Amino acid sequence: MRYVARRLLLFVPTLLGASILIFVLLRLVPGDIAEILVYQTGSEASVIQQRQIGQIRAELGLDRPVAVQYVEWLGAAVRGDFGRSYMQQRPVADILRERVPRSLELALLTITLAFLWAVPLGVVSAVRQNTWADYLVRVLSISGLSLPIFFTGVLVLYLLVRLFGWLPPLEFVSFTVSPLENLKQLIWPALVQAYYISAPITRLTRSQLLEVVRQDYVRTARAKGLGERRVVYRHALANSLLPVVTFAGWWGGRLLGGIVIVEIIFSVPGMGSALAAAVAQRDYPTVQAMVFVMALVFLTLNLLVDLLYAWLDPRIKYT
Amino acid sequence: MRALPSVRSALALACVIVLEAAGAAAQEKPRYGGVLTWFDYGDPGRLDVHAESPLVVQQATAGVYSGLIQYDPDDPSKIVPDLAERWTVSPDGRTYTFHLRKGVKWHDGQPFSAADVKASFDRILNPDFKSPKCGAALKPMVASVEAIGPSTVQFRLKFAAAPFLGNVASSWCRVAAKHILEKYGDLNTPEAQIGTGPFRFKRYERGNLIEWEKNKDYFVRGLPYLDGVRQYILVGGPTQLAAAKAGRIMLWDAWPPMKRTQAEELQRARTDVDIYQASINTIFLLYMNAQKPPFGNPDLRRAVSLALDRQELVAKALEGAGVPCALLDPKLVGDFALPLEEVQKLPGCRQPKDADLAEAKKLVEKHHPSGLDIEVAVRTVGNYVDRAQLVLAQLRKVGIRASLKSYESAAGYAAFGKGDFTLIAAQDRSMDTPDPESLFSVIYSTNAGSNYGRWSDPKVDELAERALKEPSRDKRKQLYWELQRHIFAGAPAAVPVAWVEGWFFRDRKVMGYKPALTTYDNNTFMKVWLRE
Repeated sequence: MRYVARRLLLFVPTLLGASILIFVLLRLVPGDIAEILVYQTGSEASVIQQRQIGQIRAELGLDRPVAVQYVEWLGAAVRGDFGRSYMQQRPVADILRERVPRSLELALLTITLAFLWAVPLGVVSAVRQNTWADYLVRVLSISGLSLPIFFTGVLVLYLLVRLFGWLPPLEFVSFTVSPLENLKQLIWPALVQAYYISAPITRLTRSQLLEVVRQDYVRTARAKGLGERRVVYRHALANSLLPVVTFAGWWGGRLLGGIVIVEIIFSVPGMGSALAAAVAQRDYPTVQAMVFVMALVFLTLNLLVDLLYAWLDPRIKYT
Repeated sequence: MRALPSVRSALALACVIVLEAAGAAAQEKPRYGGVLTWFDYGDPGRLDVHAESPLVVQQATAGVYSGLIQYDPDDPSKIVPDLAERWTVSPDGRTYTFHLRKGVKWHDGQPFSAADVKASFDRILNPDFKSPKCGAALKPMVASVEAIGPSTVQFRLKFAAAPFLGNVASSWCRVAAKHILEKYGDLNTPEAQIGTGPFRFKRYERGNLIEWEKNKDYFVRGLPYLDGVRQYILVGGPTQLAAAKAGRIMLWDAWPPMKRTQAEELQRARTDVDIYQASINTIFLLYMNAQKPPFGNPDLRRAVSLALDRQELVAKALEGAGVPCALLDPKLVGDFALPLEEVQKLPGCRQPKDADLAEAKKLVEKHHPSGLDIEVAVRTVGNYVDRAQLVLAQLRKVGIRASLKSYESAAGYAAFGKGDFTLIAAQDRSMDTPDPESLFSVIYSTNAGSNYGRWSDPKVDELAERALKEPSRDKRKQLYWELQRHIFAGAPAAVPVAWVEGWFFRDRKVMGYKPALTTYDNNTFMKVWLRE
């Protein structure tokens, strides 16, 4: 418990660091929302433009020193008030409530699908090392790693239309309203991402298993007369999965960052697509809040992985 | 209409079918019911049509509101009544009196009156209110708006402005309810979308969907035919095309247009659509900074203009879909544009390029005997970087060696707006109204909002001002011709490369739809209906 409490306490400086970093970086990028709104349109006379930029900055408080803006934002954020979106003219908290669950659902589905096929494929690849099955799995893994998500995503979209004249629903339906409709839309982006992240999981499972099957206790298990399936799945695989679990936790965090591409391709109104739009429009409050949530999810996942580690391997004790 | 070579016969056939269908449609009785589906290229976020400028905001709210007048849905080049059933103009052309329809109701059941019109235009014309489309067009010419009775509104102009009616008819100059403006303060939220238009704003699933439903109390009896309109928010190009190929959308007639290859792909996937090439009322420009070296020097601006091979740029960068060289596109503004035959013989546009290249080279050598090194800016949107590469290659032929500096879209606008660049290789600008005045007040006048190059030519200002105030159409035309010739003969900071065109489609079920001259107009779908 003390370990968990200490880890939770460490969240504070990490989140603070992340928030300062994003706050400063966002303001270092040229162009703020006032300039975008005025220059992008470019219809008003140039003298009016300058006045309008000043007005917008004053309205949004962007004319004050960055440090003042940050302290004010932080003060409100710890009370759960992430400010108001410039773009959507509504509280950022509402946007988070709407978008975060959708992206988390997509990430969860992705991780589940990736594990469902990556671990068995890794086992097949290890058990049948240097056979056609191993080569096939390795080709699949390498192609999964090599093909960028935007390419695989567009390819899947193209093939669905080309082969079946069908496209996933364009209207998002939440899981609570219709699980089937929800799955019809989310399964495709989840599959695309799962293909990408399953590659390292497959390869890691394979290499770990190959190492473990050479251990003495596996030889002993075989010598006891246990069947090969039992040796592999009960004794070898269980002990090979520890690094895989760590890896999956790390990937879970990364997924939230990478989800933007599949969300745009498959028209999923999640956090990724909202974040991309917010960055493009310099909607600082929305970007800050979303990055903050991502950092929090990442830290939580890492903590969970560490705890899972101890649970999976009783030899590991945290003090 | 120009056809794609590889599907030329298919498109020729499609054209015949379109014409036949148009004839048939004239005889066919419109059918009630059905939901039209199309798409927005982005999520509008804010919905205030008076205060915003992205097309997606206008698209999201188009059918909800009415204007005083509008571009005719049956013939988008004409202006016809909307909330105003008729209007009169004073002999000096400075007072317009609009007589409003009676018995019109807002979507929430409140009665519509002249007070709503006054509240809307007072808001738009307020000097402290940012209204980048309607306000920018009307503020320079309108002095005041008065309700002189419950059903009569009078606009007093600062001068007799020829484009006034065209500007009021713009889809950005919609009439909003006074009580809604008082209640919400703006029109940003879905709740504030209370109009008098053919459709009610039904729902807005942010980042996903915008839906309208039929306004059964619409003031034009018998309209609209559709039960509703559904706009999917599709941000990714491949997603937009996939939706079109899978039959999920019935219409593609807004920004971005399809590319030639996309049009060919769609043609192969669907036989129930008409694909057509059309203008998007957007000009492709190259800008130079007239306030900084080296392009503070008119000789070097002229050298760049001469070096540009507009025909090659249209052929390669726009896949042939564009009108090269023109300052005004005859397809959009009719005879206000200089005849293309004349434009195409002008230096910089004439083919072959040998004479222009020789002259450009001479001009560069005169000031920079060992050649000129510059940095070329470009925003990384659409195919701008590809266009920029072609421009760079063309400039190299006359001794201008350029390196490319790419900007993320918003950062680019910030830099350009502040004049922080030497040369912008590619920048498109769409026109807000189909009046020729739009181009000069937005790009070429000294105070124009998109005069990134900070170019100032008193004669351009004077001619643009005179054309703006000239009531006679013939004299206006002569003034615009003189203005175009003057700009072509000079060394402007904004060099016209081409008017951009693209490919669009319409499902053959969709009837009663006519594309407007700008991408902003005629998308209320009030007269659109769906065949069985």
